[in-house]
Amino acid sequence: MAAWYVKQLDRATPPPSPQDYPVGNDDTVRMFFLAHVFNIAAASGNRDEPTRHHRYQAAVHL
Amino acid sequence: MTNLRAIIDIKRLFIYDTLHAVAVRGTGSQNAMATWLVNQLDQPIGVPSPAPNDYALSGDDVTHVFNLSNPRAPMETQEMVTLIRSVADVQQIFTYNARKTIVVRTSPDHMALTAWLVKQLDRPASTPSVTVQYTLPRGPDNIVGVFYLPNPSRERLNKAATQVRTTARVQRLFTYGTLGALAVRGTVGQVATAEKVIEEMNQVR
Repeated sequence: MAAWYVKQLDRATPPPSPQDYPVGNDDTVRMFFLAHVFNIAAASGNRDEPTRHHRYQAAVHL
Repeated sequence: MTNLRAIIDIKRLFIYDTLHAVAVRGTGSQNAMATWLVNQLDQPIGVPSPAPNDYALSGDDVTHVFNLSNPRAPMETQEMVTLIRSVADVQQIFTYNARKTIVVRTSPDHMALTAWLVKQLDRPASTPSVTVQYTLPRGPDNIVGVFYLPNPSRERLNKAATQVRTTARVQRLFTYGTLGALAVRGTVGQVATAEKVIEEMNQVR
């Protein structure tokens, strides 16, 4: 799964959206690459405002 | 797009700004709803969210994306949302100002009232407005009235709100300054009293 995350996030341009990774037990990680929403922190209600590095880490630990 | 985490009721949601990426981890139904909501909100500015704007969830809740027709400053939209949240008893209601959009998740009864309130408030300020009422199917405070003061100042609107609150003894009264509107939720008698107070105020202006 970690390899999948790295593959999704370590790109110059986003891949087609969404990308899925089945985890099991009916759980799936779905990654959306947004075309028009640019202030994602505000849009997603994320008030923690983590640094880019922390966001990357959080995604890898999802 | 506003507060995906709360609307979808999903704990594991993370973002990666560099690629404008949002990752969610959830069940099939949570991911299906996330896909619908992302599609509703990730549209070019000026392009309405694609139909359907409703999403039925398992259980009683429904989610609706309202695309406002009349441009408002973020503070005005926030005042509208505060009114709706309190009068319609809606907990999960969020704005996405870049698209002039309101996202609501609630029961079908409350959604019907929410849609009615949006219809009353999302209109040009120049449109003449008449008093309107909405009856909820159940509950003691099941009448909602929306009253308009012609050409009101904020001071006059606040004065009217105080007078209605005192005379009709209503707890739930909220104003929307852009249209000079007061929304009151109470019993039949309370809303009738509120209407009378507003009428009297309009006669002596």
